[in-house]
Amino acid sequence: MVLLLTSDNEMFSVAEDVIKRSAYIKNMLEDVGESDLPIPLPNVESNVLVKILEYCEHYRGEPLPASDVDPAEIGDRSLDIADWDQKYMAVDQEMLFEIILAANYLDIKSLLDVGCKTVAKMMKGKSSEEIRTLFNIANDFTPEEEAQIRKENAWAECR
Amino acid sequence: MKDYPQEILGHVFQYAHPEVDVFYGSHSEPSSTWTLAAVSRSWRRIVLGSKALWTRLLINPKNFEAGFSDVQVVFRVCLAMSRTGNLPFHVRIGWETLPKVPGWGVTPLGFCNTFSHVFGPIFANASRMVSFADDCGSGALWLLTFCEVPLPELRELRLDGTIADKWREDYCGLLDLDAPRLHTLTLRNFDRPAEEDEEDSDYEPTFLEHSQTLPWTQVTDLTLDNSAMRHGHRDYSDLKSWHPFDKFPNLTSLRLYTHPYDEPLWNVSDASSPPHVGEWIKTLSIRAQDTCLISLLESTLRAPRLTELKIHLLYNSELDDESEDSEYWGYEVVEPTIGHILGALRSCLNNLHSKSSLTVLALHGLGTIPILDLVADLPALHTLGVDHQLQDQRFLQRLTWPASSPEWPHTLPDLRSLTWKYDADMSLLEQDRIVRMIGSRLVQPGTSKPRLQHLRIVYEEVQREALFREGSGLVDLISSKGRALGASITVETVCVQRTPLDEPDEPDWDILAMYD
Repeated sequence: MVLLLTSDNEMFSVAEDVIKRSAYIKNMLEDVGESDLPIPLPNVESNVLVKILEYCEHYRGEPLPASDVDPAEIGDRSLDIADWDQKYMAVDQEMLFEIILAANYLDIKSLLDVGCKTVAKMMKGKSSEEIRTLFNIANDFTPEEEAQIRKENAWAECR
Repeated sequence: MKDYPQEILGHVFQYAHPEVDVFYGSHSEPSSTWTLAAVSRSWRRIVLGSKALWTRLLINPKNFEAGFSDVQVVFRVCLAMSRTGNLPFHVRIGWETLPKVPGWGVTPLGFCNTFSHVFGPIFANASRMVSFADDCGSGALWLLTFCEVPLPELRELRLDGTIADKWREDYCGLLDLDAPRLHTLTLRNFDRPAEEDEEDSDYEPTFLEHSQTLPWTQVTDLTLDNSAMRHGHRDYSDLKSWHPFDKFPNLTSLRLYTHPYDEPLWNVSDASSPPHVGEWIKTLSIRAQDTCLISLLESTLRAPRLTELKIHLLYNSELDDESEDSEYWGYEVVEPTIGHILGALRSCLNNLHSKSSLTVLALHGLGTIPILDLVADLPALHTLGVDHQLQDQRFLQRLTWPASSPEWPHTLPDLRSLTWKYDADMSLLEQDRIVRMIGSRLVQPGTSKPRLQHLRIVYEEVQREALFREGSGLVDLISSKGRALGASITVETVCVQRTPLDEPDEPDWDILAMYD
């Protein structure tokens, strides 16, 4: 078993084959070897770790995903999300972003991908203003930047 | 979200894979790169810093008749091209019908004249172009070939040969591109429509005769949609068919969709074929009439690496021929064409290196042919498409997992996706058996993982009421079964329309494609 200590000081005891889906933990275990000391996770709160462990438990025993896709190549990345993953990601926006941040920190690529796909799907078909409203983002452009954006996006009007 | 790490936001944006709509900027209907760049300062910084987000150009002047400012569009094209840096880029021309050009009407020449400014900056960088897709027959290939630039990076080419609803024979010659790395070729409507009444309409043009430099042997992925490879006169004996494997010997993926109402039929049985027919084929999808289907199937009998096989019989000419006798197939009586197709399928499967390699099998348009023997020994099949075979009691029994059995059924143990042509005339007993079979495959004992995950029901409009009837309709029954078992299953319903054979209208290709 592996001991994990969250940022709010909760201790979790997790089966090694479950948490090894995290490349960060896997590498740490390989570097440090067996130890009774807990691994501190200063960037992950206990309620988020519970969700992360639910994911790792579900995919226990399944092969780890292949290496990263070249980030420069967008290609035709599918936005398809498996049924179970969709249900897993049906959480409030704050928790969704916490899961993504934790997946990034713990280096769980498949979970990070599912999280990013979920957010990308939320943005699909929306205007800039609708995206701002959806994610509570302030329009912080300077007047000069606004002018540049207007120029770029001017409607192709009649001659 | 405003404090999100740039690295993660960049990742999200890549999944959104936005297109760069040069006509509408951020006013584009779907989220475009311009939209993402106009949300906030931090988002804009990320989008402008990610060249890959600018590499999918969309040319879509859908409201063109309202007029447009070409200066503004060209400005956006140049801006987008500069933001790609030196990355390879994709071009998609994506409106449904050719726009009416003032003074020109709906003509490809009008299109080329009006939009040449827009394409100019793109084709000036054609050496970086990876894919070029024109689904609407805009004639933009004329502009590309006019530039006479080599296309060293072009991997994918998708074209429609019917321009402004008219077949343009001279368009075939434009395929003679200098594109040494091309591996995916999709040609749609590269054939004269049957109802064309122009002079010399009997002549069957072929795109192959005109193309000298396209690297046919390098093409591994070929789709011919209403683009039969014939040459000669259709009413004379010199009409010949090219064999796809003769021209494209290294295909790994072949999709052939013929026009269901076009005569004469495309028959490759007498075309010269190379010795290693279909040696490398992994994906084979044929949607055709009987003669074409059978000859193509027989020509791929030596396809030992097949992983996906989809066939869709559009029209069986022998049904009109009363002189033909029926024959026995196992215990069933089938008419000769179907028997012939079954024989070809069986040979195809027997020639696989391993039965475990086939994972996808779809058999549509074959009526109620018995397929139990065909699928019984395909252990790795995870996707199956059938028509009315689910009403075959023997087949259904073999698919149903008995609750008392400790073992998973031998028939299709890994089935995850099932496409099925709904029949509203089936009895309540048949319906109940089907629901029971689906329910039995939803949950695997000992784990919480559902097995059958996706059910696609294809139906005709007249069957809608019976299928969706509240409480007793099949969709409700299956969903209730899933809920009762605590298992998840996606039930997708697809409505198709049947076009009478004696109607000369074009079939709705997209609807036919839904079967796939």
